[in-house]
Amino acid sequence: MDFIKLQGVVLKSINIGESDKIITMLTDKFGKIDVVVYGARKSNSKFMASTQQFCYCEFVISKGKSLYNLKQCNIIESFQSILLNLDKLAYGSYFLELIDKLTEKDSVNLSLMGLLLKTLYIITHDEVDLELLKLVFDFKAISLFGNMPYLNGCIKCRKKIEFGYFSVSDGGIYCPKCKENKFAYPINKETLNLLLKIKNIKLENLRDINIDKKTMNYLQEIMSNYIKYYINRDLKSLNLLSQIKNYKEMI
Amino acid sequence: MNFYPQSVLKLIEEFSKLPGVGSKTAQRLAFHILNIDMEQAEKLASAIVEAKKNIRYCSVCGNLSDSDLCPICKNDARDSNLICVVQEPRDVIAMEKTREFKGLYHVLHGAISPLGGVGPDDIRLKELLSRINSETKEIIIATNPNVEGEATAMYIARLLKPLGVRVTRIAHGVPVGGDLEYADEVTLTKALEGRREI
Repeated sequence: MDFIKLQGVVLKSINIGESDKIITMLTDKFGKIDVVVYGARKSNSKFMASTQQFCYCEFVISKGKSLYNLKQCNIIESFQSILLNLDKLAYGSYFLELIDKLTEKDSVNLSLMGLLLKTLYIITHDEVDLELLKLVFDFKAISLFGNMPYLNGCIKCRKKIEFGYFSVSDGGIYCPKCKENKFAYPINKETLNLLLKIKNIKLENLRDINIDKKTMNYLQEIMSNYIKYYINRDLKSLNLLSQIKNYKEMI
Repeated sequence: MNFYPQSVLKLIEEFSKLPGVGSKTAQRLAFHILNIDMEQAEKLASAIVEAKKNIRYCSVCGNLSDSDLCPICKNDARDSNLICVVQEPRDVIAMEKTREFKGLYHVLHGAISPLGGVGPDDIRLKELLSRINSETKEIIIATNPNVEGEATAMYIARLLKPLGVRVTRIAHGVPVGGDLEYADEVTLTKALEGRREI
């Protein structure tokens, strides 16, 4: 039996049987894979903590009949402090779910894994605006997935423009002339500049962006629809996010 | 090839639907049933039907009960100002085995799961809020120490803090009788955080 050593982040887990579970993780060697962990839910299991969501570990696995089996595990960073803050937990869960939905099984995307890890480090160790982090994460994740919106000019006539219309289905901006009757979100100069800033900014420099609530909500709406268009389904973690937002507004 | 009579096959099939019972165990159980006398078999059958018919949820705490109120909620000797919040009825049994807790329980029948799409409205949180009054001293959150359990604990704490109720979380750490050497970093960190003076 061959043992394979790899690093990965646990995206989700499903309980099976009395005490076992199947974890889905994003790994450096095989991309997204499913691994069976026998006895992971028993109180004396050595895999109990390391197979929780968010855990970034070095795993030793072996190939089973249809899935991999976990043999050894060593935690590199548990990110468990995310669990102590409801907002961070809700946003963190959203990031895991988005990566899970964007990636296909067994296809390696190291940049996407890097983005996820960097984001989790930022949530754990920094006090950042989580809504802004989500917006930037959305943009970067969908770009690394291969669907970066074209923002350098009109997607039809390729002319440089300062304002225009963002088309979710065509993945870019139209100038007013080329837009015709298609549905697209109007984008003013300020919003377009912000989108360009988000495209180029590094995650660790998020404090450099000043963005007002209204523009943020507008861009969130565009990005959410853009992502939904490509992944073609709703993300469950958005329910908790919206409930937390509503609760805050209520208070 | 089917070697069993139809009724035995049906019995094996039904047993193998139970959690943790494979086809081999189901076969063993079925043959055991065939070997016991009629009276014992009828007792078993009626126990299953009776439990299924009579068991319902306690109208106050949501625990399993055979009357409107469960024995714990009925008991006047228990401290009604102390409520322990658990995920499932079987967690009540686990807590009761400690014989340390003298308050009441509240069973949520689930936990908030961001990735599973289970929200605060899907578990018995409204019922918990309605049980809290000015005399409530403490709410102990004993949900499981995983993502769902922590999300639920944080949500309850956020809901109850403005009401001025003391909200506490059960400690996590090294199991009794275990070796420190084999404990993982996450568990040890939790154990350090929850240390107390002796």
